[in-house]
Amino acid sequence: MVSSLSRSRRPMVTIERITALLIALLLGVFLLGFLPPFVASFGYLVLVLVTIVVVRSVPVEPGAWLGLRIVRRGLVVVISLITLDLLTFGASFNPTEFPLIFVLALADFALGRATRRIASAAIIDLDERQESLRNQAHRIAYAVLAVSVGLVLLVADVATPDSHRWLVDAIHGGPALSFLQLLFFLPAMVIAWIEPDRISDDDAPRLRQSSRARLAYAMVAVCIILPIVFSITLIASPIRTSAFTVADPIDGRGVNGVGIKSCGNNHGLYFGARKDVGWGGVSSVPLTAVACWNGSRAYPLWGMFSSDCHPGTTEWAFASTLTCRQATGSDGTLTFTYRTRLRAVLLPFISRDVVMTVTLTKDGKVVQFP
Amino acid sequence: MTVQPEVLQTTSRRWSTVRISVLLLAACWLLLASSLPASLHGAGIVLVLALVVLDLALGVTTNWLAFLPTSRLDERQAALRNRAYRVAFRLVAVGVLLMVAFTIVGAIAAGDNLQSINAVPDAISPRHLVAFLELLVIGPTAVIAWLQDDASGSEPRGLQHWWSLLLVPLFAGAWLVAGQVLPAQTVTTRGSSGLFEAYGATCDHFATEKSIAGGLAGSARLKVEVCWDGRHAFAFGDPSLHTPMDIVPIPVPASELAAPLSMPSEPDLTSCAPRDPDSDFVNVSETCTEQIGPDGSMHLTAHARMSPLSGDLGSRDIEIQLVVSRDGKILAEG
Repeated sequence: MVSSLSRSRRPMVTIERITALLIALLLGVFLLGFLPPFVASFGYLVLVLVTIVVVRSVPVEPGAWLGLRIVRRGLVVVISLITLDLLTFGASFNPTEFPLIFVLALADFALGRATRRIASAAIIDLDERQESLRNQAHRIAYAVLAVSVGLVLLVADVATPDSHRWLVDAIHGGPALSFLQLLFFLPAMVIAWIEPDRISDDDAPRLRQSSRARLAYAMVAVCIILPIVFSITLIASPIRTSAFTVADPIDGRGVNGVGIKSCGNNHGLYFGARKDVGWGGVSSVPLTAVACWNGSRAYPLWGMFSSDCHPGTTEWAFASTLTCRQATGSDGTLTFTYRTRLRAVLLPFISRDVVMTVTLTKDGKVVQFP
Repeated sequence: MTVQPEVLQTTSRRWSTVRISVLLLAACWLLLASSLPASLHGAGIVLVLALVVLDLALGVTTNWLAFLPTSRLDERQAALRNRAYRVAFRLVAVGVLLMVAFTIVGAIAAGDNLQSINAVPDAISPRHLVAFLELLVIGPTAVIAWLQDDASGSEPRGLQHWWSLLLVPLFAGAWLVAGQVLPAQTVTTRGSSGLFEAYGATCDHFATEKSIAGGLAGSARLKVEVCWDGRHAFAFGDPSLHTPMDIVPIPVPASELAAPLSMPSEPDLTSCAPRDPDSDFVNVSETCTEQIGPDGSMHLTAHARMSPLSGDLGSRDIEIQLVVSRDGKILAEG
């Protein structure tokens, strides 16, 4: 190759390295925001990032199946369909959407293998044919990106109030993921589409299975299995309950900083409880409420109304409130029922109901809690 | 393939006029794409015109290679063009990531700025939209200009090649005309606050934005927390609106108050001021007036003046109206 001498030195500053640095910075900010309540998710994201680095350091060959153009094109079609489907996701994701994103991540992983990651490889690692193919693919990808993103953005922003509202939603929802997919994987998709069938083993010498390659495969397997394990523990793990009560709680809103009794001249009880479900990704359902009684009836003061029934932190699960109901019976007994359904993010058919119950008689006897 | 050494050879480190133009382009783009300063105070259009001049200059210098069909290119040009598209694709990724980073930095820098809270949400500011489109349109040409340099591809061009620069005043004229004739687009939202409660009254949040040419010729906006108690509707949270305090319900008789009741300033709830990005391309000044009708309805009117040039030359007035009845019905909006 004529230009091999010019290529022998790898430049320190490349556009790929600047991109990687910016991604690392933004992900760092994002991950730090994740850290306080979502420890398991933070750990998992770090694992995914390390896995990406390890996987990218291992040379790959497409293998028999992914070497076939028809299979690669099928993969591109699947990725394109998921990318299009993401456009319909609003700013708030629902339980059925995460498995699709998971499948997209796996498809992108397969795409890297199918194209030998030449779309993002260092120039020193490519031969002339690969470099030419890559440049051509980028030109096609650029045209697709400019039309599909630039034009849509411009038209949606200025066309009508409705299109403007769609864009506001889109920029925080699935369409933003579609955009990132195109921005980082479109050239590889084009390469997978236009590259001819692999016809000779000379072009693809068998790679040695190094220990790094085995590590990479193991890490990918862990990245795939871990969320499934988290999902299964939602039903397999016992519910861990912590609860306490405080008699005649003091309200901090008193005059001159002196607290006053929440229930005034009546008696009261503060109920604090939390139920945790799952291992790894833990979902918490909390309850904080005050109820009072006066000998003839028990009644809720706060924390037992529909606006109070909010799940706490949920990792790898969606929470939806099924029941949030309080009533005082004819015998003066207060009954409060708060039922939440936790549904696994990646396996939405796995769900578990968590119930909190408070039963307080008119004379202050706690019959059931939590 | 024998073109590669030539292509690589062209990436010399000489600081030619072309490369200086590319650097100028990058500097203008960075200023446009960054969120600092928070507002360009009408200078955004100057930046855009500078970008257009540089775009055209680079286009002429590169003979618009990036946009020519492959059939009109020789092998060397096609290789250079494809390589430029690869670099430009990465530049778009870097540019988008930079814009996200700038947005985060801008949000942190404007930490106590309450203009955006509860206002009509914007997907992307006009300034960032222009920066993104600029990146998409001229990225490959800028890369070709940088790679080509003056060693092989940018021989001096005759005056006949520069006629396209006439497009710059045409572009400026089109922008001025668009600012005058295009209808204002209205976006309204209601109830986005939801957290505010007032004694003895029901409250809801209203926000309206009127923009011309997607905000490229300015935007006016209004956000207000309106309360009503069956007798009157009134705006809450802006003392400059001079809401009569005797119509605001209070828990004790006014005579028992230690000090006369005054309207608090809650700029996160009620504000007539334009947001910083609204004044990027034109200067926007805005005033609001409130009147309580004899039937208890609230009439709120925002007057905005968009001035693309200094001295109110070519300025355009826009009005936003909101009328809410004493029982919370919207009688007029927009």
